[in-house]
Amino acid sequence: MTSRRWKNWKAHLAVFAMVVGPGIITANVDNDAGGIATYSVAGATFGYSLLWVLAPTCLLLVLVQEMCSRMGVVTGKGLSALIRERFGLGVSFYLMLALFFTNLGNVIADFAGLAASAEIFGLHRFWAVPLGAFLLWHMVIKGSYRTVERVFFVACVFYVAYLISGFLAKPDWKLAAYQSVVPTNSWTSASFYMIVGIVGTTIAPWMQFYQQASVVEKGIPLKHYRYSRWDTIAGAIVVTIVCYFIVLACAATLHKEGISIETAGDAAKALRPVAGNYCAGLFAFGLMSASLFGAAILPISTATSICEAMGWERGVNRKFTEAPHYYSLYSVVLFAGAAVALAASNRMLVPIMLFSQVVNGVLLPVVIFFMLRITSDKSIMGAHTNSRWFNLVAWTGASITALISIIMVVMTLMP
Amino acid sequence: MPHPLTKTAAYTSLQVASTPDAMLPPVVFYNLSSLLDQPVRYENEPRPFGRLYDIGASTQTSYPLSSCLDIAPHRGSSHLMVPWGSVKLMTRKETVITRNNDPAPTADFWARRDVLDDQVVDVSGAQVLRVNDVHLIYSENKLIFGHVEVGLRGILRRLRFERPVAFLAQWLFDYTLKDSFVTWRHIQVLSPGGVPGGVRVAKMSDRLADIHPAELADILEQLGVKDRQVLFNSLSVATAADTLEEINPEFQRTLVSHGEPGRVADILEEMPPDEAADVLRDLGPDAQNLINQMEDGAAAEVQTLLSHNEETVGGDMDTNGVEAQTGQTAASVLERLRYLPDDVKVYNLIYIIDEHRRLKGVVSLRELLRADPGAGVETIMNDILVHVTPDTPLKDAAREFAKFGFPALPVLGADGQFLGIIRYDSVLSLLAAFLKD
Repeated sequence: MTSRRWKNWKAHLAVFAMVVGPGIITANVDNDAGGIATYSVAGATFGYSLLWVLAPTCLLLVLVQEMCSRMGVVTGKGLSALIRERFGLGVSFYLMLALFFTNLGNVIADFAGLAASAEIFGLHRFWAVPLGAFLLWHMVIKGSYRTVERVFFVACVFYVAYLISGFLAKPDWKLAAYQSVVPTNSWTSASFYMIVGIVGTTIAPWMQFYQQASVVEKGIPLKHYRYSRWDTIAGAIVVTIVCYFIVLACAATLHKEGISIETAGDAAKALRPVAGNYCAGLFAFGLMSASLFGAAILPISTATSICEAMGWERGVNRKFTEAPHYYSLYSVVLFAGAAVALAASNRMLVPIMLFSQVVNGVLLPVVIFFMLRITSDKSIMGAHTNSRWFNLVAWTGASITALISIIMVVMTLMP
Repeated sequence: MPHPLTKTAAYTSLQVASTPDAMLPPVVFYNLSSLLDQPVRYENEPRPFGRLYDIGASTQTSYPLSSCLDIAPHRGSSHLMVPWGSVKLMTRKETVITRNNDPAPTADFWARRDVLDDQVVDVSGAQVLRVNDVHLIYSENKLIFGHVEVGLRGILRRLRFERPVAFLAQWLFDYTLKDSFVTWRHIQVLSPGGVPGGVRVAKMSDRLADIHPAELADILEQLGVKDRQVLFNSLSVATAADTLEEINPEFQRTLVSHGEPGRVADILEEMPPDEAADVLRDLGPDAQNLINQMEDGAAAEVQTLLSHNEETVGGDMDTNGVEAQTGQTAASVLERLRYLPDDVKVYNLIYIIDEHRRLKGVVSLRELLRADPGAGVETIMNDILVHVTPDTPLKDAAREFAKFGFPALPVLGADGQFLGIIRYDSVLSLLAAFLKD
């Protein structure tokens, strides 16, 4: 009896191992330099009082990403291809243009994060950024997709650094646990802005395109879809745990000492005197791997989405001459991102980041709207359309997300 | 250098020639994107009642002909399907139809739903293309599908950037934007799907039959699940088997697990047993179901291969080695070689076995041809220098190949029984994995 149950478990695990990846990788790239900055600022400024936001955000993330992996498994096509086929060229073109700019903004933020964390370890940014950019470029141009994916999967493990630094910061566990469930924050415009920021950085448009594309690339059969759903859920939970610990680390130290910060680099630097060398070092190490990770995946994702919508050859498995558009887009996003991060001072980066966030905020509701239309379309999804109750939850969740991102845009433009 | 404007004028001349609406010239070229969503009116009424939503086509001729229209009325949500026969006039500004009650025929495909912005297969280039526009020829009140446009220019035209971009490209770089067309004779429309008004199930195999299986595999890998399955199902069993061999393992898995089991079993029978075993190996519980539906002989061979570890010789063993009995003459063996089936890949080494299937020696095709026709095979055969067993790791087999340079090695059972051969190319795929990185 027990051996049979164990056998069943082993069979389930074997299939899960085959399917796992897209959800977890996407969710982890989500914790890139921009994300870490937001969570650190949230912890440093508001202590534990915004921890309750994380659970509902996790739920929204699952809701949105589940639709993507379902579309990927059922149709075998990427999100941008489906949008092109369902809504035509005009819509797709402007959507892709917006995606290009918001992703470029994210890549800039990642290289800025790489520069900041490298300088904490004593490596000057004029070495770190070009070195990082060429390393990533070489890895994708010369390596096969499988090796690249394996490298990324291993990179996820580096987020353990945040868990450890969260423990090293010796947080007040009781208070943290209480405030994770019960909202006790004061409802000022600053705290509202912060909540909007957390949701906005956790659910970003590139994630939908990237996760669906990697599900397609993996060729997951329909009957294994439920494992793919677990992959999505696992990814969302992992990402939430990581950002929970980032908030914890900053709340237990910086907030208690009343130190205010603006970037993730600030957080790592400020942690040193209050939390010790190990905690700060681990934090900076986490930031570095997150930045590299984000800077590796976002250019690939941008190139793949745009080429799919426009009907150009794509894929990391093709040669440069076979897919010139793909590699040009990839290289432009990667090197332009690195160059801007290197050339711009922190003061110049602020308006660039604002612009990228605004485009992000406008794009997300549009993408979610298209996703809901496609996942409700029988001629595309067959028997796997959204059920009525799912649609109810999804439309509510999507409306909340859309509302939040619109508020974020308005607040960014009119501070 | 010619003035840039002259070239610009040259490329627009096509459109200038096709604009007059009052007096139609005998032949007019339209772009599908410029016809769609234009107003539709009845012959005797001045006001349009709807817009042109889609054009259905019949593929009876080598260039498809429009057979019906799908009109979205301004009032009400249900679309109106009309046969092409009721069209009086079609221009870039409006479509005029007469009232009649004839039912619209079922289309073979719909231009907007199945072609525009969708993927099609270009049979001549063996590639998958995304359609940016469709060129239509309007002549004697017939609408003929001439080309699909797949280049940048089609994208620019639909985004209304064509003129400025063409002008800039010309002015700055002296570069003329080129059209990239593919003639409709080479186009295969994929998976016309559930549409109001319906579509006939497409027949595809004839146009795809000339494509090499490796290229077909490449095409399949670029398609979505539904298109891929439809295309795969439309191939003949033999072509499907050759194609499945070439396709990458992830897609093999989806194609096989989504296919109709009886047909998949036929395809697997057609494949060399070691390839079939490779397909089935990753399939889990479904594999047994498929093996049960295969013809007994093939099923047994695949089953044996599956029971061996993939990393050993047994998993990649080819059971189609050429055997000859001791006592046979060179002539009789040669005569049999003539009629070997195609799936015997190694035919230049003939293994000589005794009545207990024990391997006695090997003779090459060249030696057979040179030998006296009446000579017994055991007089010309060579000793077996090297053999492997089913449990030999593939890596060790690779070393033997490197040492001896034979195209195949015999695989022997515990008491020297001849079980089959391991081919050089089975080891090659193992070595190729090292070459990649």
